[in-house]
Amino acid sequence: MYKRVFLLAIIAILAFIMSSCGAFLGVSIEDRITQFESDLNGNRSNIIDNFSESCDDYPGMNTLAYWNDSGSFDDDYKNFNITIPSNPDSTFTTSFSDTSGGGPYTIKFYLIDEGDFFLGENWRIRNIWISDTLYID
Amino acid sequence: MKNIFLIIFTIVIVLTASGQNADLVYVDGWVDIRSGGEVYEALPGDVLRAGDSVITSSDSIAELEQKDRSKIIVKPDSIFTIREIETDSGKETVLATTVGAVSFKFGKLFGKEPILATPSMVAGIRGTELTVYAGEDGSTLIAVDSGLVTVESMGVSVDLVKDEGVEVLPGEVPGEKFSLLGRNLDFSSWNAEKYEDLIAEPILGLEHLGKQLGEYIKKIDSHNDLFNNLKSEKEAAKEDLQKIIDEKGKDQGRIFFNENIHPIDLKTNRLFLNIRYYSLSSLSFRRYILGRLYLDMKGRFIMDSKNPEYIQFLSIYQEKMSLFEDKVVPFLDVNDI
Repeated sequence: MYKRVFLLAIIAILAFIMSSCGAFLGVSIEDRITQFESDLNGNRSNIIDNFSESCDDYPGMNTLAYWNDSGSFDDDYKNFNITIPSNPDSTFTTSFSDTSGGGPYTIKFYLIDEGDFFLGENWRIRNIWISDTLYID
Repeated sequence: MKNIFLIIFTIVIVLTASGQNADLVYVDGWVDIRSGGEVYEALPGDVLRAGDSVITSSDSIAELEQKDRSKIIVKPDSIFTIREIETDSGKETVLATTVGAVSFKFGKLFGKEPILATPSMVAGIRGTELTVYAGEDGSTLIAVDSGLVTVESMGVSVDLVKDEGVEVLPGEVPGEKFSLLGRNLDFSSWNAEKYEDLIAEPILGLEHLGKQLGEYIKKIDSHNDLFNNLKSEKEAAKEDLQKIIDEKGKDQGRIFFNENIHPIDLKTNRLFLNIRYYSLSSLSFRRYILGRLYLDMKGRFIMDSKNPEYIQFLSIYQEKMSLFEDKVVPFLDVNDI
């Protein structure tokens, strides 16, 4: 009897630790793209956090000026709206629109999971192609 | 059989196309990695990514391995960085030795071979084993063990084959190539000799280093001019867009935008990243070459701060720093420092 109670207590503690450590609270692909879209439309100071440090362009794009003044994510364009498919794979193609006057443009994302057992999944963007052009490598 | 070949072919493509990160496979002594604004102790298993630097001390070395089995040995007192740049032929990996000695043994690369760079030269390589020595005075010495290396500085190129070497002084064209046979290259004594020459004539040395900084700034300026031209082109196209929307409606405007403005946006993105590449290279040059000379001079003249030679040095140094502030700093970010 005591053995069974002890076992149940251990399972309960483990379940609590896992949930509080984020094993069930990680950043999914949908979460990441939603966050990226929100950062594009709001405060861009932490936008780089949506990207994997393994991006070859990481040092170059690790400055706000890159995001605000150099191309398709120019801060002159507002209301970025990325269509997120349900249950997207790590590589998926979709479209986005904004107030630039053009578009909608095709956009392809490749994400990698940089999470671990304790923190759970943590997907980050590794590549972006816009209109079939490699935009972020 | 055909399928197996296809699978192998695909794997090779994926491996070579997935960037040029390097794994730290061996460390002896204390080695640091500078990544973004952080510096931390390097340990085997760490991955060096574009923009990261390996910094060895006087008694430490680090060995890196790339996915194609290329080996990079960063010798004592060296700073080595992996960077990326966009060229006319696409994206290129640049293996930069800011200071110190780094040996390379390249595997049979399937894709593009990397560019090697120091503050005073760039080198293209083909199936090569070589050592790059980057002196604290900004000079470079290249020694080739096998393969072909094309060294370029100030617009002049020299081809090196097995057992050949060349020295490139900062802001100068490559010197005469020489045979390595029967010569024992010792980086420490070469570097010490170079630095003694620099410190013996600090004003002349600073002028040479300034010329090298000027080369980086020229590249920043030329990319920035292209960038600004595209921005002007975009502004002009936006005016045309407004006219089209007024006269023909939003749908025609959308077509005009997609055909004329969207392609400009895609180009400005890559140009901006190139400006950042040269700005970050300038920052390394200022930090590890110019900064070292400045501190050394300050120490040497601490008791004689009114010395005319020192005052002239400071004046030239300030001039170079003003140029750096005007031309490079606008493209740097707090994350870079």
